[in-house]
Amino acid sequence: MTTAARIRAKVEELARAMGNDPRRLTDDDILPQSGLLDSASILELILWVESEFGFEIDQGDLSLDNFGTIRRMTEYISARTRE
Amino acid sequence: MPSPVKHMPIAIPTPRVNNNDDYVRFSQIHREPGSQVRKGDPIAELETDKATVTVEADNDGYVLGFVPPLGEMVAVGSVLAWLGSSADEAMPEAGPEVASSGTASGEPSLKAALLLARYGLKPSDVPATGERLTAQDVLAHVEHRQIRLPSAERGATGTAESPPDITPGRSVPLSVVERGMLKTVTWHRESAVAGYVEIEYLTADWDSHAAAFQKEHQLLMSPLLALMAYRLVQLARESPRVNSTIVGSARHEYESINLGFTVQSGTRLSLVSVRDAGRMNVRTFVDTLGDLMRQGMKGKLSSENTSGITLTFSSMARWQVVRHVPVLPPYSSLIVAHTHARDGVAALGASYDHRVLTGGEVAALLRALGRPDQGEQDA
Repeated sequence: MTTAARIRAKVEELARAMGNDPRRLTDDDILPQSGLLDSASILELILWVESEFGFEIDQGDLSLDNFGTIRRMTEYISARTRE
Repeated sequence: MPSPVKHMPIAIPTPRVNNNDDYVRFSQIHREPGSQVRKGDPIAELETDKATVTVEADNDGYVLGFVPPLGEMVAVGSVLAWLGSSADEAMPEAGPEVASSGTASGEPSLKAALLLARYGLKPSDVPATGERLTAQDVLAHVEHRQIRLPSAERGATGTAESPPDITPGRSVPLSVVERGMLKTVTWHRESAVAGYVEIEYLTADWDSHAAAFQKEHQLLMSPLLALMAYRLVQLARESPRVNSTIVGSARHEYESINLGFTVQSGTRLSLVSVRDAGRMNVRTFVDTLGDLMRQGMKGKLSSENTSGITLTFSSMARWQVVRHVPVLPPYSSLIVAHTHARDGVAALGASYDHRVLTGGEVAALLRALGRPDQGEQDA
């Protein structure tokens, strides 16, 4: 499974746990504005990324640029795991 | 090979975990007696109702043994363990008294003052073993003199008595979090004179303010709750009475505002403490709280970040809860209850200690909290 697919699966799991239907979510939709995840769910997603990909994320890296969409998240993770 | 220091054996004292706890539970052994350790290696775990800390070896050497039995409550400052220069060195039989890190002001500690008030004693009634009267001194005195709590308080802890004719079952020890909750609920019921008030407010102003802040600072997560909690800090800064509690027959006004914020992860409910929040600007506060929430969800909070709370903000909006009456954390006068909005209207409630605040004061505070004060956000 690709990194993007793994992230999407987690996002969908968290969205469904909140009672939301994530099927229309694209890789470029801004997650905080999509209404699918609340702040606590996004926080859970960040903790999952740290655990799943094995690195710590600085508080300063938690920006829309790095984690706003599935695509940006994929790019950030790829860059971090290349280090 | 480690190079043990000279003049062994050396004592490892029991550290203070929280300002208000003179006793801590010896909960775990990391390195068994006879183990070789290096400076900084974890050797044991201590816990209170609010926090867990790891005790580290402060020298290279060998763990000779632990003085208190595992699971016991241990006085802060007493010897927890001994380090020696070889594994077979004898552990001293009697541990020396180790000075605690508390300040020697001559005044009772906060916990001692609370105990004095509960038992109806004056500081001069109780002999102090050190320069400062501690809770340990008060407890030793009441035990020696067989002084009993006033009848209204007896049996209030929920731990001392078994109910009559209880259906047979097994006794399950409480976890650290459960013990903390028991302490909180008991304090709320027995010490605070708790009241609750609630107002309704329109959420549009806060929603647009939080959205603008999020856009301006390019934040990943909505800062709404953090901004509302910061507004509460601002209001407490303007009205120090909000940030106080009753100790004995006086109101104890805290020097700093340590903002408690509830964090839920799975079934675990934590209360994180943003220390000295009154001296932070809004962005620092939002970032600090965000970081603490992450640590809380990971279960990696330090004692510093879970103790000393003087004022609390709690939200159950995530669970679509439209009203909740929160329990007051010990030694605080107010906890705000934020709720889920329906059709742009939500309830903002607060449990408060009626010994400190009136319902009118709390209602006024909630009305102020119901709208952002943008002019002061960066103060």
